[in-house]
Formats: sequence, C-alpha cells, structure tokens
Amino acid sequence: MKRSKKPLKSARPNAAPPLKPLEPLNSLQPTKTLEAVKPSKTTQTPASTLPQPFEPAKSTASTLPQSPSKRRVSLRRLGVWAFRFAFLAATLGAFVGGSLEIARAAAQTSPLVFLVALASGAAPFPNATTAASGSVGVFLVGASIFSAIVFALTLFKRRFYCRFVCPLGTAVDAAALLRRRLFPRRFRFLRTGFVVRSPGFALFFGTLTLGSLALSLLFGVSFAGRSALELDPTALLSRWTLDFPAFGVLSGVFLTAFVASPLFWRFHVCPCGALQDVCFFGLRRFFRRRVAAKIAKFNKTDKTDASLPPPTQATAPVDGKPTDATERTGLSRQIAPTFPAQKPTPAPVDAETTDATGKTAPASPLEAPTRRRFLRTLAVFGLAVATLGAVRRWSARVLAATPFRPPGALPEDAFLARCARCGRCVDVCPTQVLRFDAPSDAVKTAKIDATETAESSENADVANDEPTADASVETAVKVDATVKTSPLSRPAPRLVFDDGAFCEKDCVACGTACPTGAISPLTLDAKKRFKIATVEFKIERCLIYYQQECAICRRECPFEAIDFVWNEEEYASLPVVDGEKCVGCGRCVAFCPGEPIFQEFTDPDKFDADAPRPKALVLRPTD
Amino acid sequence: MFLSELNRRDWLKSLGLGASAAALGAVGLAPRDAAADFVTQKDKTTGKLLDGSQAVPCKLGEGGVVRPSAVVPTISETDVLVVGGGPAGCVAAISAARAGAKTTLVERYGHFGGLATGGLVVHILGHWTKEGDKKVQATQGIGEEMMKRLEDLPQGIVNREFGRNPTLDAEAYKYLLVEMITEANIEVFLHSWAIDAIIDDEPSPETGNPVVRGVVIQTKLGPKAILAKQVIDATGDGDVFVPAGAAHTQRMYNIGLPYRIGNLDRAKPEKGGKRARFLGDVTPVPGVRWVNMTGPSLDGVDVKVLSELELKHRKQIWKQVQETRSTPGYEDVYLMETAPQIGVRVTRVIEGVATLKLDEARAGKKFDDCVGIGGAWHGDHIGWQIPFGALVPKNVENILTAGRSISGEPLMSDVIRVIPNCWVSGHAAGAAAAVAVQDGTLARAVSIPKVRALLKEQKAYLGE
Repeated sequence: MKRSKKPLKSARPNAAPPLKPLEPLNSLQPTKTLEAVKPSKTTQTPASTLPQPFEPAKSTASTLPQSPSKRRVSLRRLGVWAFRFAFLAATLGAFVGGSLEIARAAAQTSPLVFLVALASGAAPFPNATTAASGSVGVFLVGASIFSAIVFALTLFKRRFYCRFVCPLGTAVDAAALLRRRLFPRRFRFLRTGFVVRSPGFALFFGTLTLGSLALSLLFGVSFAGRSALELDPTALLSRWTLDFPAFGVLSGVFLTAFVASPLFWRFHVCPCGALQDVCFFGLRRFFRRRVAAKIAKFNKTDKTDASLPPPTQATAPVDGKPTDATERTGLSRQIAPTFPAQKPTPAPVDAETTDATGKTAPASPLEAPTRRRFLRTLAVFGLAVATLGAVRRWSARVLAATPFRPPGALPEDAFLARCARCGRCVDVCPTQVLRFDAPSDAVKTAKIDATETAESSENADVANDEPTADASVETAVKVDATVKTSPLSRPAPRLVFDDGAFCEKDCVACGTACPTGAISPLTLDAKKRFKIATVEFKIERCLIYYQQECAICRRECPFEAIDFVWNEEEYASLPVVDGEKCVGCGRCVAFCPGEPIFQEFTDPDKFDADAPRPKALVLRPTD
Repeated sequence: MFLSELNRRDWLKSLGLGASAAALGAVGLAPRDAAADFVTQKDKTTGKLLDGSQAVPCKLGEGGVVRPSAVVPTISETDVLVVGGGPAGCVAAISAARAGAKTTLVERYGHFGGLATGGLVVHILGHWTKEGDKKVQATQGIGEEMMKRLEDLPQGIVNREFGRNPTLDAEAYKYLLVEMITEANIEVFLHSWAIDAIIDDEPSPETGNPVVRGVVIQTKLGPKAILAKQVIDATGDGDVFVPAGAAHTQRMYNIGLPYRIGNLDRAKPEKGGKRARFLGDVTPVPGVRWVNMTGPSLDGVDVKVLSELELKHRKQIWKQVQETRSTPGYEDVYLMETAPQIGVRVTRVIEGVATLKLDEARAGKKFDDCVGIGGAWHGDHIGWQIPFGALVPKNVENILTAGRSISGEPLMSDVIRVIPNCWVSGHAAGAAAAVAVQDGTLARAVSIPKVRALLKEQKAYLGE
C-alpha cells in the first residue's frame, strides 16, 4: 500500500516538466494538444510526441487563468471542434434524422469497428449488390474510404481517432470542459487520480479490456457475451437510447469525466483507444527499432548516445513485452515509468533500455523491482486473467442455448464477438422481428418448462378456463424461449418470433446495416437459402388434428415448404414441413392460429377468442 | 259417415294444399294439374301414361355406349339462370332478381345452401379483413343481410360479435334461404342436375366465342332445357362452363364429411379430466357441435372417389363418435347427423379474364373492375379485390361463374372457396348478369360502373 502511494506522489512532480511546453497554449482540449504536439513532432523527434496528448488537459486545468496566445489558437481550435462536433452529430443523427446510412458510416470510422469489419471481410467496401445502390451506395463507399484514411492516420498519429473523430471523445471532452468552466479547480469533486493511476488498477482493467479485445479479434470469442466491440464508442453512442447497459456505461463515462478525468474512459476502458495504442505503438516500435538499429550501425555506438535518448524514453513504456495491459498503461504518462520496470515477463530486447530509461522521475522506488512488487503485479495480472476466464466460462454456460440469429450471422461465438450491439440491424428490420429485448427469459423458461410437463401429461382442462388461458400465454412464448441472457450484458440482437413477427423473405436490411460484419451482407439469393431456424410441427396443437378447418401455414409460407399430406392414422391431411425448402423465417409460426380453444356452450361469455394459444408450429434453433 | 269424414278431410286437405299451391304458384312452380290430381286422388287415371315408344335409351354399339340424339323439351325461359343453390348461387339469384331480372335457380338437392347447409360446413370463416390496425367486415350486402336475418331467428347464428367468425345453424339457414328466395320471386328447380350447356348456333359476332343460351337439367322426367339470356354457373364444379367449353383447370383438394354431435351440454369433461379430441366447434344450438373433416386430397368430381370416400368417411365418423363417447364424461354424446352432401372443397376453376393471385391479394392489388372485397381467414391480412374478370371465362360468352370456381391460382382458391367469399362473388355475378340483361350486352362487356352502382345499391362493400 504504502509503496503504491509513493510512486504516485513522485509521479506528480514528474508529470510537470513534460507538460510545460504545452502550457502556453492553454489547451484544455485535445485540439490544442494536437496543435501543440504537431509542431513539436515535426520539428523534433517523434519521441517528444509521446507525452500524452491528453495530459495537457489536466495541466491546463491548473493553468487556465493564464492564457497568452489564445487568439492564435482559437481559430484552429474552433475548426477542430467543429469537425469533432460534426461527427458527434452524425452519430447521434441516426436518432434525430433517422439516417442509418450516416450512422453506419460514422460507426465505421471507429478504428476498432473498421478493423473488425476488415477482419470479417464484410464491410469496408460494400459491394453494389448488397449495399444500397445509387447515391447512398456512393456515400457508403466514400465513408468506407474515409474510415480507411482515419485508420491509417491512427497508425501514425497517436490517438488520432480519439482526438479528432471519436464522437464520444468529443462529448467527454465537452463534459470535462464544462466541469472546468463551472467549478474552480479546488472543487474537483473527487481525487480519484491516484486510484486510476495505480498500476494495479491499470493492469487489472487493461488486462480485462485488452484481453477481451484480443480474444474477440483473434479467436472470435466473446467475453461474457459482451465483446470488447460493445464498448466501442460509436456503438455505445448509437444505442444509448435503447439500451440500459449502454446508457449505464455512458453515464459512467460522463460521470468519471465530470468527477475525475475524461481520460479515465479513454485510457482505462475504451477498447478503441486501446486498439489505437496497440497499433500506434506497435508500428512505432517497429520503425523506431529499425531507425535505432540504423543509427547504431552508423554511429557504431551505444544507444544511450546523445542522439538517442528521446527514442529510448519514448519506447520505454511500449517496449516492454507487448502485453496489452502494459501498453495501455504505458499510455498514461504517470504510470509510464512504473510499468516497464515490473514487466512480469522479461522483455528481452529493450529491458535494459527500459530500466535505463532516462526518466527524470525519481525512478528509485519504481526501479527497485523487488520480488514483492513483482509478485504483486503478477497477482493483479493473474486476478484479471482469472476473472476473464471465470466470466467467460460462466457466460458460456449461461449462453449455452443458441438463440435465433439474423440471417447471415456468423457462427454464434464469432457473432457474439463481432457484434457491437450497436442496434442498427434492429433499427432497420422492417418486421421488427430482430430485437434486443429478452424479457426476463429465465423466469419465462422456468414457467414454460412447467407448462410443458403439464402438457405432456396430456391434460387440457376444459373445466377450468382460467388456467388454460394462462398456460397458453406461456407456451406461446415458448416458441422462442430458448434464449437466456447474461445480466452483465445486453444480448446480441436476435430474432424474436413470439408475437407474430417473422423474417421477411425479400429483405437483407440487417446484413447491409451491420457495421462490423457480425451479420454478413448477404445477397437476396443467399439470404433465401440461409437457415435461420428449424420448424417443428406439434401435431397435438394443430387445428386440423382436431378436425377443424385451417390451411394458413401452407398459404403463408413464402418458400412453399409446407404441404398437407394425408395421414390415414390420424384421418386428417396434416401439414408437413419440407426441411430442404424451409429456412425458418417464422412466417408460418406467426400466422398459425394455434390449438383450438374449447368454446363453452354453457357460458359463451367466458370464451376469449383472442387469447394467445400454443402454436402448432414451433421454431427451434438449427443444429 | 265415412263419406262425410272423407269429405271433411278432403276439404281440409284442399284448403291446406290450395294455400300452398297458391304460394308455389307465386314462386312460379305452379304444378296446378298435379296438385289438382293429388287432391282428387285421381292421379292414377289422369297421369300421363307412356307406352314406352318415345323412350330413346342409350345403345351399346361398337365403340361403346352411344347416346342417341333427341329433342330436349324446354321447360322455362328466363333472363338470368343461376345453376347451383349454394351460398354463391342463392346470393346471385337474389341479387339478380332484386335488380329486376327474371331469375331462375336450379339446385340438385332439395334445399338451398349447398355446403353451408347440406355439407354442414356451418362456419362463416373469413369475412373480416384488416385495414391498418382495425378489422373491417368485408362481406356486406346480401351475405350480411342473411347473417342479420339469421340473428333474428332463434338459434340461427352464434358468435356474431365484432371480429368473430360466426357459426350458423344449417336448418335455420335452409329456412332463411327459402324465405328470401320466395320473397325475391325466383323461379326454382330443385332436384335438378345441370348436365349440359346450351350453345347458340352462331358464335358471338363481337368476340367469335360460343354463346351460352341455357342449360339442360336432368330431372326425373328426363332432360329438360332452360333457356336464359345470362347463365351463372354457381355449381362450384363447373357443371355448366365445362360442357360449354370454357377453359378451366381441374384441382384436387381435401374432401371430407362433416357431422354434428349432440348432447354436449350433458358432457362432464371434468369427470375424466381430459377433453375428447373430436369435439369440433360450437353451433347456435345448445349442446350441439359440428365436427369438420379435412379428408384426403383427391379429385372431387370423380364419382368413384366420391363413393369410396363416402363409405370411408362414414366409417370414420362412427369411429370418432364412439371414441368421443368412450371418453369419460362424454358418454351421452351421440351422432346427430352426417352431412348429406360430401365436403368437396375445390375442383374445377375457370381460366378467367383475370386471375387472382395470392401475392397480389396480400399486396392489396387494385383492379379497375373490382366488384367485391374478399375476406381473409382469421382476419390476418388485408382485403383483396375481386375483379369482374375473375368471374368471366376467357373463351365463352354469357356465362359467369361464382363461388369457389372463380379464377384464381391454387393457393388463392383456398381463400376464395369459403362461404363469405362465395357470397361476395355470387353477389357480383348476379348483379353483373342483371345489368347485362338490362343492357342487352354480352356478360363480358357489361358496364362495370353500372354493376358497381347496383352492388352499392344492394349494400355490397367495394372497399370505399
């Protein structure tokens, strides 16, 4: 405990020096930071850029009153802010103006979404057959190119997306700015910095976020049913109105921005930020080492030569083992010195440079990688990994039953990982069969199981009307009740067939709208062959079984997959579903009137014709 | 003593029969001579005695059985001849007669109502449609009038509440149809099977198609001809348009045999805790339920098929009722009646000038010559317009069809065939035939605005 505090305190004074050059700019916002960074980057070695672009925000808070060159900055600042707000507006525009194309394009600019889409081979350049044609298509292609450019810039300019494009970043910065304007510095509500900056905290969160991100990207494995993608800022923003978890996360983001620091979200949670750093530092390290090698070769001297200290310093945090956590924590300047030192795994190449880091800071406490310190780090890391694993295992159990996924959805695990829960597919679905909601399924499933057993005992009670109606409701829901959800997460979109919705035959809207490729953009032909579910026929619920007139399932089946076949034993022509033709669109289920209700002649008033009844056609997940 | 008794009885008889003869005369049947003979008990001597020399039996020749040609006596000439007294035919005849045309109705059984009565398919399935979120009753006009009048009869109809599919009582409906047809002054031939169409020597100068001039019916006294300006084939099986040479398709569909069971009010389902399977659906009569049957999908105009199914179905019905009776609590249930008329659903369908398609119906396709709105089962989709072209055969003149045989693709026929839709198409056919007679045009060339005006006058629903 004591030890952890020490570095913090020492880190503070530390922090000051690098910030100083930025102070004159009085940049509260990253915009200014950028400005500050830019010239320095061009003039100096890239190393100088490493000091956090966002850090100035903090320092500026203190330096707010003294702003000498305000005018010089203002115009540029204004431009950048305008640009950023344009993006915020575009993302939120989906709600205001209902333009999903714009929202989709905005989501695609996120490097995380872009990379995932690229990985799944789906989105970057939507082809003419699947995406909207005409001007919208052109717009989407244009947007894709733009997102490619943003991604490329992110590789070379640190946190480019965060600083200039990210709509959530814009919102968070605005919130922080507001806070600073509203309250003098000493009224900062909480001094959480020390917690946030503590290496254990960072390591823990870093491992969780980056771990799930890595799992998602590499193995298509989701983390508790909530992939890292779900925390992508654009995805979060696009669904904040319809999603309580998203709303909660966003509230958290803004709260921390307001109460503590806008950086908390960016550096400790946002997987998109983490990804940017991974890319940036990965690339940077690659080049740096090549340059360093060249110089070394040229000078035939040691790296510690005068020409190279900045690079060393810069690489220091990164060069440790490329563990996600390290890199991320390395981002925040205060922690930077602490981490490399205690790499749990040895970083063979740069280890010595790391230790030799020209940290101006009193490196002594940190640099004493005592065994205890090492063990503690290891423990935190282990705890994070264990948590990840446990949650993952638990979620695998909870999510064992596969719900119905939209046509074109990747295999379940990959789908869960790729899906950002952005809700665009839900928005575009014309029949509203695609939904997020999972109304307390656990409870319902339990009830339904009970009903099932009751039914299997074959008592359909005539005497008592009330229970019959109740049972009907539950069994009606059963159609789709195989879904269980994890309370940690909003479930990924699924097809909810239980109230008469079905998947339209001539529609590929969801695949076209999906920004991450979790739902592949199918052609209409491919969609008509995509197996969504399997239809099961329950003879004892069919009107015809009771010798009543019905032909609705056959009439409504858009694939002509249902025919009536004479059944001598039951003495009726009963529906038979052709498994080859049927894709499980659910239309027959939607129209199936359900089993007959026995209308009491003695008391017709008790008869409720509109009461939901158990359907004879039931959808099951395809194995 | 004896004589006086006889006289009194005779007097009473003649009184009653005279009244009924007067009624029949008003209808147009007017078998006065026969009535008189019957009253005076002198039919044996005054009836026609044939020596058999006029008989023209079929002959077994080299190529098989040959029917020799013979002159067919004409027993009636009329404006509009409706063949088939089911829901479509009755409504067509009533509509035409009310529009002022001299109308004749031919029915093969001794009652009206077709499958709705004799077939015991007493369910008015599908006269509701959806418009937006609300339900609309698409079946208006004479069909609705029938339902209303059934409501006035004791135990005539049940489930007439808004949005429900009512069930009528077969006997009540039989009675009501007699009442309505009598009111409309329609000439009636019962127990008459249409066996042939009568085609004019000359094809139509306008279209070059053969023109139907009447129908030959089979009666106990041999074939008789009825001449008419317009013919409506409401037989369901195309008994007239097929011999007239109209293009048609022949379909196989499920053929069942409904029945009614009684004493359900004495059933004690709680006794066994289990509901019997073959309880069918409610009817307006307490304790009586009707049980439907899908049956196998076969050719409904093949007499061998029909015969075989009658035998099979009757066995099955007996079995089903016994199963019901053996269910605890249902011991008192008994088989009231089996349908006198086998439940043929769809057989022959004309190839009309326009053909109804299910996809178009679902999409709410509009027709310029819309003469009615069809309803949907369970009110689960929007109303579909029936174009006049669907009633008109492609290649024959002056014959319209109504009921289940109007032009539609297979799955659409399944929607068309239900009772309310038969009412609607029958109404349209009757009105169109009346207008064609009035204007002296071919049925094909009838003025659609006039037909629509007449339909509206008769309170039909055309979607506006």
